[in-house]
Amino acid sequence: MTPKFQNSLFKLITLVGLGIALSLSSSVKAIDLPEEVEAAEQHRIEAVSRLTQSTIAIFESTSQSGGSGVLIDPSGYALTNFHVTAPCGPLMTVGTSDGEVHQAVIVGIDPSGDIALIKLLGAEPYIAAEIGDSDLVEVGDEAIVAGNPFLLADDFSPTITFGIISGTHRYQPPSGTLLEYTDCLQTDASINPGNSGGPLFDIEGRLIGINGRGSFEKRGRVNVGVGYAVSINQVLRFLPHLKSGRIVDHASLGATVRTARGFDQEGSQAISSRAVIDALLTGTDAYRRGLRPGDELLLFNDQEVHTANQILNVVGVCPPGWRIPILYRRQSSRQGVSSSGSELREVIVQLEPLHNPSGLREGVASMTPEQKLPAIPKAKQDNEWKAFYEEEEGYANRFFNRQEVSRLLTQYRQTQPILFDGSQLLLDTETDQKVKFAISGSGVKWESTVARFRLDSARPFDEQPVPTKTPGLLAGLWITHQIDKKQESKLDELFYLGQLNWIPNEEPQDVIRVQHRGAQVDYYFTSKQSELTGFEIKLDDIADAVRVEFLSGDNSSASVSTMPGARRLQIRMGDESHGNYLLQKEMP
Amino acid sequence: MNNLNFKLFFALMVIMTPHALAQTSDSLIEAGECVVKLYGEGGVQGIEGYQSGLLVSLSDRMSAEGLILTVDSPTLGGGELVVVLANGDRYMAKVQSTDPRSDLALLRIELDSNALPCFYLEGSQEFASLTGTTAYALSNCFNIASGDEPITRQRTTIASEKEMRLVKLNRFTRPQQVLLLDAVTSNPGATGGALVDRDGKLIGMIGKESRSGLGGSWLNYALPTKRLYESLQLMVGTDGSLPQTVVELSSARRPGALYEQFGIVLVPQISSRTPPLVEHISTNSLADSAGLLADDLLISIQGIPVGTTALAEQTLLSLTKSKGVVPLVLLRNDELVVIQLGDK
Repeated sequence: MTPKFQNSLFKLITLVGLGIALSLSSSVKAIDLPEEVEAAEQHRIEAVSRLTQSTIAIFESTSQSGGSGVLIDPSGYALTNFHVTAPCGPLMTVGTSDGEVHQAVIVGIDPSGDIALIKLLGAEPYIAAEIGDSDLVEVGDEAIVAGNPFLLADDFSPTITFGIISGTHRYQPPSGTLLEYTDCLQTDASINPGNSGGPLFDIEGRLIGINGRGSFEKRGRVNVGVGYAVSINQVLRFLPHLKSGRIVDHASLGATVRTARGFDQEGSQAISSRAVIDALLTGTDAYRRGLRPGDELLLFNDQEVHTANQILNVVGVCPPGWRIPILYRRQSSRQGVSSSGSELREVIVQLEPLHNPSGLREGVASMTPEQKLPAIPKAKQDNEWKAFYEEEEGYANRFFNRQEVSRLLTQYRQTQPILFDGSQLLLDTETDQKVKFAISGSGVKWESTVARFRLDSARPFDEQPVPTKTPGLLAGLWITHQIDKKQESKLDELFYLGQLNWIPNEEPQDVIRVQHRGAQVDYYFTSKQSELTGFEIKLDDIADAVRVEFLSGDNSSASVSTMPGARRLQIRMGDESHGNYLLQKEMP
Repeated sequence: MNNLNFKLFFALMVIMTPHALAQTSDSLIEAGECVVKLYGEGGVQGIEGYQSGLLVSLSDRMSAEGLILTVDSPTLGGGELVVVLANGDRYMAKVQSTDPRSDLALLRIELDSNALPCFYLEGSQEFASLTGTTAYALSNCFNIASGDEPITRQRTTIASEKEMRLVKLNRFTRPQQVLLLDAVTSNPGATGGALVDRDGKLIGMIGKESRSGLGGSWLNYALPTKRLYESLQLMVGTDGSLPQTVVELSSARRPGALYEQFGIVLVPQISSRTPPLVEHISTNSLADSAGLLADDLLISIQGIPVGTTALAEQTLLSLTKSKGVVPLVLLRNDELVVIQLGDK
């Protein structure tokens, strides 16, 4: 080979090489995206990077089954589905999006609503999701699902799927189990097995639902564009109940409602729907407040209702004991639907429990496999979680209930003096009647100008319905005295219930329930200051409760001298007032 | 300077985007009001008794004609259906006519003078290529919505436009243009629903649940508006009156053996569990003389229980081959009936 030839060869190779390099680079051209598309994508990427931080992967201790969840508080509280935690027992293994493993203990469960509250331990503060408002969600809004479908993420980084809200206020009936999805969100973002319990976010990255169900049919158990999420507003209403560590129930009107169809106007062929009561249990508050079969429900908790599904949607997001205003129409004549001869009535009804307690417990047991002691996680041989768990019948975790009771009563006792002690006078400002009463550990003595009653604390309270017109009042006063005197350990049962509304549309209050010798008392405390608003006492399931509200003293009463900070007691039973009393120490 | 321009543009875009999204939502809500919920025959395993339909008109956006276009399916078998409008009003509808070439059916409800919003099928419109565009499927899949509850809205992309043959009554139609979609829009009950663009304009009707007999893969498709317009014109008639007779079947057929031998057409086998429900009996056929009727449910043949279409076909063909005439037990109006079927 001559040097000249070598030179030419070298040039040829260089040229060919350059040619190849050039053609490769020129075939890669950047796509020109419109600026708003790029901006929207950036916005979405930013929202996703935020929301993944609060998304968790939940595993049963042998890692055979699992699901997803979402942190809602820096202290470690997280939400998931009940059907995800049911096979796990009290302890779960949780993976956060940064790849770290944590232990989590069960706090409270809501089987019908398919929600469970758990608490991650040991690595506070956690990154919590920003909570949204599911009532503001509209069909067509973009939605983001995060979770661990098919349990495919080894490093717990959440899988993200994207779609729109396909429907709101959807009702999905119980399909052979307890789980009933009332008022849920429907989305076409992919929700597959493993996504259960995980979060549904809006496009801003705010939590609007907990994913848990889908419609599956001919194509097997994989997503076909129809998934459902429990709305976050429902979950928030139940959150204090879940924090109570109990097995939480849902509410029921205590009546069956049917969607009746009738002609709207004369001559019109159009048929419209009305929600009409079909049958009603007589032991319910709805019955005691006057509702009867045939009544047409118009406004339910301030929402217009026309169908049975709508009623279920309103009731389904409430805990038992929640009070709602109802506007209904009763036909005076039973013929046809003409509006002449009908009257409108408005009542406040307290909702009943949906299940009886044993039925709920049986339902939970049927979904919980034989409990073996949780396998100790290989990574950590530590039993610290046991300090946060107390097993007890009827509770998911009694430990948290004790915490809530302690918190409430401690705060209550710090700010309020003992209400009833020794001999006291009640002056009824409505009738000017005076009542002398004395409370001690052995009972209550009640003496008015017309009658005398005694409560013996040693005997069952449901056998002592005193005073006659407001049976149970004395029992309520005595139990209050016991709590004030820090003698609550002597009471049969005392536990934190959750939050209920004392008056509809007002801020919910913390409730402590006491069951003692056949009486049941619910104490209502304001949520911030733990001031005692009042109590309701029942000696049986059928009658109305006696409702005692504590108000501040009224200084306008001229005939009686009052102490500063004097208290008033407003006593009601059902729709009747039984006195508006001024409470005083008996004058020596 | 460039930085400032970008920031201004970004700010403007951020302000305007929610407004643009809201507008899309309003027009989709309006389109949803033209979708109706239909309830008819069925409720047996694999054959839901419900689907969706569209209020349509050839002349206007508001109409009191009460015309509803949907896909012809076993649900319409009874000839009468319950129609539930978006506002919850219920009507009884009759099947006015069917067009087997496009597999569509026309229903009619008596509306008096109340005009309702509907999809205005304006003409044989040719859309610019739709492939790659965003579309929304509006339907009552899984019968999630009842009464006046809003129907389901799913977002999808049009993956391609192709000519395909559709299956009808164990035969195939002529090839026709369909839109193939990338989301699972053909769910139970979605058949007959609307496919609309971002502005709520109708671009197609959601087709039946379809599965490839070869590979088992499921298809999600929609019939384009052009097809709906042509078919509606045919069914309504050029002078506006509705013809009573069913349009003759096309000659592009691939008959099944049951049809050839006995004149029996069973409902299409949508899933492996579709029961052997008789859809149609050919006049003067062997099945006709034996006394078999449409809507009969085959229970057993020569004592052998037949729970699916495939099993029924297989059993009937093999038994009549060897034994000639066989006793057939069927369920008709909640009663068991026995007939003798076969080659005499």
